[in-house]
Amino acid sequence: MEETLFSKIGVFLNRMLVFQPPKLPSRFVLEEKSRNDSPSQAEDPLKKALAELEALIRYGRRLQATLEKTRAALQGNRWDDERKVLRAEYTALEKQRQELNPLVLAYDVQTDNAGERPVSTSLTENRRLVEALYRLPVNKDLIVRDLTIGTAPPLKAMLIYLEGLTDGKIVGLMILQPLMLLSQGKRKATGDALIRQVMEELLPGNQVQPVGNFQDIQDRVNSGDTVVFLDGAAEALVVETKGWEHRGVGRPAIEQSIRGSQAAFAENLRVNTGLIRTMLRSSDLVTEMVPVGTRSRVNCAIMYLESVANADLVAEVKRRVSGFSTDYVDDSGFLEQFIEDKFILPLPQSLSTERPDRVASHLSEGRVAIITEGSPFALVVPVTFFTFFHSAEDFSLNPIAANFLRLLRVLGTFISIMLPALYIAITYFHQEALPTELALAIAGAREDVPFPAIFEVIMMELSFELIREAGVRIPGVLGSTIGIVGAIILGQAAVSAHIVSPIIVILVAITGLASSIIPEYRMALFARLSRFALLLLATFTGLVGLASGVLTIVVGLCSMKSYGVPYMAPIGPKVVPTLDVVVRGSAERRERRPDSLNTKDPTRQPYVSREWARKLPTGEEEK
Amino acid sequence: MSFHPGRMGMAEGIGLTFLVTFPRIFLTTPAISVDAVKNLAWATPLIAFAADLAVFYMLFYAQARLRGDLFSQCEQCFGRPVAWLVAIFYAAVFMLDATLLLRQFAENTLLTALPYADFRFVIIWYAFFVVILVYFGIEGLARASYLMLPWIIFSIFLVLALAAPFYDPYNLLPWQGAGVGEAAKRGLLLAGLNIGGVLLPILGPQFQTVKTQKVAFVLGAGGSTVVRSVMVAGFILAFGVAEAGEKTLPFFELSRLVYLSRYIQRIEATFIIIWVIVGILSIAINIYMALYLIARPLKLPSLRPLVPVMAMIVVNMAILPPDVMTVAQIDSMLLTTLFNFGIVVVPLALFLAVLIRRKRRRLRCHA
Repeated sequence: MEETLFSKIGVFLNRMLVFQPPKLPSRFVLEEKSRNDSPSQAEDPLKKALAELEALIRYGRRLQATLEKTRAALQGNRWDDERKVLRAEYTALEKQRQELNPLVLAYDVQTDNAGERPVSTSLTENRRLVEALYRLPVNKDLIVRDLTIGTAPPLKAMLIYLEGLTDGKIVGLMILQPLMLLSQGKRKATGDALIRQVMEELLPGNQVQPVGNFQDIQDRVNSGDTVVFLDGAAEALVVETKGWEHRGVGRPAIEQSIRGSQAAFAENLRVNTGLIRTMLRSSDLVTEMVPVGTRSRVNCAIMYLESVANADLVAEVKRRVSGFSTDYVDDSGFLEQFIEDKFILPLPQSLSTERPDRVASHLSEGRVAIITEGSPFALVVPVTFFTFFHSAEDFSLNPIAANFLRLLRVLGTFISIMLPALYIAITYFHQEALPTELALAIAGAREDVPFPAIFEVIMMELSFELIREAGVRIPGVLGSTIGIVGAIILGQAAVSAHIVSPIIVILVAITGLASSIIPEYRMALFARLSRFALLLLATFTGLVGLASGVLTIVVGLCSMKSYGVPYMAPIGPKVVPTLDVVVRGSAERRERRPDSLNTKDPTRQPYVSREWARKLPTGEEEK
Repeated sequence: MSFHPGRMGMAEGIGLTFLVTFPRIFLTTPAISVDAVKNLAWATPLIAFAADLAVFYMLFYAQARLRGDLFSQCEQCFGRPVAWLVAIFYAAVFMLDATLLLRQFAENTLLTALPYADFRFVIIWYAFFVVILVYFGIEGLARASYLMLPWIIFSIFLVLALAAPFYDPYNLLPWQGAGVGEAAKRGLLLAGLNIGGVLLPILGPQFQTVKTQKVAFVLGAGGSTVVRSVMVAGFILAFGVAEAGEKTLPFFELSRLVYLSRYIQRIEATFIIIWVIVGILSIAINIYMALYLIARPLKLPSLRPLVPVMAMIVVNMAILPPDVMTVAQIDSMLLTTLFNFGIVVVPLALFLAVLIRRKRRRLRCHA
């Protein structure tokens, strides 16, 4: 259509009056993709065939280069000088040819997981595989260093390590310097002898091991070690060079104690196992390493006293730790959920502790410790219900004082679980149980409050939980300050506003304090959850509801097991008790290890452990 | 949870036997005994236990000479059909016991704790928790029973001690009451009170040895008997024969008496916790046993799917009687007939069968 004045005016007005949105690129939307959109290399037969051909071509090129080198040596009359080098080269070629056997090659290419492949004798092949595994050159963390070992004849090598996980000084002093500057000897031609020669004569590192497949290589490189590949060898050498930055051994943050050790675990696995060893100096303290996780292989240490711990228990723990599949395990709490038995009540089945002295003490009783790399908490299994009410310093105190504290914790647990429910049950259904004056005082305090008591209790309990959770999440000093101020202000304001009665504030404060007295966080959490459940039951049917709820918990506890050991041992089932259940005896009365653990050696100390008390004092003997 | 209950020991046996023979002390049964036997009512539990002990020793004698549990022993002696009949009979006994206890405890809850609630609501409340407990299995129930035992006994003796100011020793006189013969007759008729003790031979091998069962029965049922006897004596001491015979819930009434000071008075509410725990536990044990006796001959792989079904049947049966007095009458009737039959006939038959088998074997050897 021809443009007229009117149409131009129309377009102009349209542009002037109508809003024109700015031209922006469309927003990013993470679209759902079907898995077939990105077929893996292993699924594509053409790519597999191509990979096979490429491997053959690379071999051909290497062969061609060696032949040319040989021809040049023969033509240039340098045969005597180059003979050894060329012989080594031909030996390596021969080995590579064996790897290129159609069957072996087809198997290697067909293997979906590149990590399962063995180390090749060809440095080029190994380099290609490392590049594929670590997504080079996009990934900048992996360092690949080519070098020539100065033996006669010289040997090509390659080392790989992850920047940030290794100690650069160790790499320089323990690997590069000896291999490049101090290796003047004659080199062995064949693979095994070559590996042994480099390992025994050239690498001075404290831990050097040969590995034959890329799964092990990845595990070690991801743990901070350095791997050295040698041309012509079907194995690589792993040199321990771990040296990442980590938090040092600090004071316990959660399980503080007045007496006893003041050391806590850190994130470094070896530091943690070392801490335990410093406290339990026994040669039969065994540390087994089990890698967990399929995508991120994290080492998990299983520690036990071989001469004490029940062999079946150790085998069961190992079976569970090595018998689950997940891509990534980041914490001992996460690991715990994979290895514990399923049960309806959310009760902990292992002791989670940050204190090496506590772990050492439990190991000496015949339990097993599980420590996950990167986690400052160790898990101790199996445990009983009573373990969670013990604290680290119980045995550092006088028995009477320690028992007073233990009974206080048990009382605190009862208060934490039952007090609000008991209050509701009695004020709602059984007022006659209260002395008249108390009943009148409660009624007087509630006179101005327009809500039912259950609403008051639940509101205050939830407020307390909010303050507690906020106190944990808000960083630093501010957290605890907000917790205390929040509790005081909220309580005071709620009473002034006649939303809650003062007695509820007292009740909730006592309950909150009581739940904090339980030493184990997860057990305290269970007490908090149970409190809400019992509160609801008591609201409906008073003491009948409370009794029903308590009974359900007790029967649940009695049905539960922690790694095969009944949760309520030694009283449900009744086994030979030790003086360390609810109350504890004096140190000299701890003759036996817990019966429920069925240890190899049930005796901890002789019945007369204080032998000196039966002997005459030194001066008296002489008389 | 298969029908195989797990591994238990003497403590579990004592707990189970005590709990399953004890709950009627919180109900009207003691008042009925006082009404019938007067001042000597405290002796009736002892007489009943003595009779039961004799029968159970015969049963244990037979057990020591046969293999397996009660079902397989009946199978060995009388053949499979009779064994099936025995299993069905005991299943019915445990089911009826659960039904009667459920209704009576629900009615008592209405009387003492929840006067405005509907009894069906309370029955369903109890049944709900019973289902959960049975779901946990007999091991958990047995261990919880043993764990609760000291608290139960302590609470009862506490009530008895706190009610001491109201005791009149002359209430026990004349000590013969309605006569020693009447007491013996009543005691023998109440032998069925300890029918729960049969769970020991039914679960048999789970208690490891016959000796364990023996000791568990003596301490469990015996302990329960002693506590019941002392309690009945306490009722008579506090209320006198005439009044004690008319009380619907003697234990509750006894705890209502307590007045030591302004701060220790009217403590009956706190004891509701104890009798609710005893009630729920004993109903759960009875239901578990009934289910076990169904699953055992049928060799079912698991009891769990049957738990809610059984609970529903028990609830419906418990709702059937029109009032609590009818339930009390049915309870008394079943105690003196069906339960007595169960506690006497099967053990006696098994004992005789073992004797005859031994005699025949001896004759054969002699020949």
